[in-house]
Amino acid sequence: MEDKEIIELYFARDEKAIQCTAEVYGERLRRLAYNIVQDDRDAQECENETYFRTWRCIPPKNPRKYFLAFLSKITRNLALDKCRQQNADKRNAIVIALSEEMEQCIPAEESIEEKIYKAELEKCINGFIERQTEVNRNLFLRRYWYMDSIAELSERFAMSESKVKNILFRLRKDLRLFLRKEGYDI
Amino acid sequence: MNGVEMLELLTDIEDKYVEEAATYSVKKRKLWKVVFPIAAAAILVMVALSTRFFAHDYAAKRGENGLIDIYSLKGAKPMEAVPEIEKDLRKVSCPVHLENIIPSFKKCIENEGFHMVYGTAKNMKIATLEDKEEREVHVVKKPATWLLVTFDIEVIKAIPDMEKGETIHVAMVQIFETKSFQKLPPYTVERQLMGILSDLQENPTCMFWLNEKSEIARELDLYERSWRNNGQWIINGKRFAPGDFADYYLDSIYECDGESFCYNLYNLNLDEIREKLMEE
Repeated sequence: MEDKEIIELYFARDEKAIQCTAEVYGERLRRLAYNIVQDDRDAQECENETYFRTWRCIPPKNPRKYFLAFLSKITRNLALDKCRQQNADKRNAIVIALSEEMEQCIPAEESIEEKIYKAELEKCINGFIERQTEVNRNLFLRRYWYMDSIAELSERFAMSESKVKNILFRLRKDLRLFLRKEGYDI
Repeated sequence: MNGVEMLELLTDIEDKYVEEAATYSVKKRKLWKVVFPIAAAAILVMVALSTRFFAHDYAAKRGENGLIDIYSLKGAKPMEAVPEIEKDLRKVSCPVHLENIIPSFKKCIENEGFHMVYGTAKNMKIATLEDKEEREVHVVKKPATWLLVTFDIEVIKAIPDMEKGETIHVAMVQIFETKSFQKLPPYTVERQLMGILSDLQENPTCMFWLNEKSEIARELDLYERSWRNNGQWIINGKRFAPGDFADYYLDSIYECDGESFCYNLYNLNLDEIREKLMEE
């Protein structure tokens, strides 16, 4: 079923919308959640909560153009929230590993104006991603957004694991330089 | 900012990129896309190699027909020419050392098919097995007085400029820069080179030629002819008295012992040589 049709069901307040969403995107969303929480039950919870939130958001929101991204963002936030709630970020190996990698290029300092600071930083990161080649951009997102493992990336991008690591290393380095140029102290 | 917050920062990346990454994957190349270029390359290599063999054969046939007497030393075909060359080389005045030289010479010719220079007392020929070119230098009238040692094919170009009546006895080609020579055990290499050099010392008139690509040659500007004639050296057309720059240069080679010879030949301390010359 097309995204457009699913969204029309949401707008019509037809509960089939959730069923259709689960059929089309359920597995991807569950996988994304699992990549973060590393637990089947928690991942399932995140998926279900995603459908619930989507049901509440549409309408008024109308993510006709990027429906998968819309769903994925909800799932990702929910999964990260779950990590935080359970204080699992200290125990979750993947979150630790990925956040350590990101620390190399994203400033980690606390500040009073953190929200503004974060918003600015998000803009910068978007700017950085925009400048990347298609492969690099997707590799970056698959690793730090979808939190795929190196092995999964290697398969998905048809390249060796060492090459994947190399590219990611270069990307982190470039991001650090980019942010430094933008005035961030890293 | 903790780990989770740091990862949350990325959540608001633009939808289009998130969506793109969600479905993005690089399809593995289909097997034929990998196999086909390899097969094509293999075929090309095979064709190139067979063409090369045919070319040899063709050249030899032409020689037999007398159109171009390419390997006319004894009218031999390229591969068969080796024993003939060996036989001819034995005739020259330093057979003991040539015994050491010829096996690797032969090996190089067989394996690499590269240029070689050879000579006899009666008939002097220069041939390149690879290029299938031949140039007659001159007919030797006098007994051998020259020993030619060359590490570079460029020497061929210079030989015809020699005065008539002078004799070239032995030629040794591209010895340093060939893979097959480098593969030889060091002892063999040293023996060969020491043999040549002792001949150079014994022979009152001899020519010494260095590979122009080698660092020494480059440093010393030995790009053009350099030879020693009746106790004198001529480098780039200038005559040097014994004991001066060129002699000192060669002396320093002679002084090297067998073990370190090869190393020293390439690693002579040129600055030291220059300093010494300045002092003198």
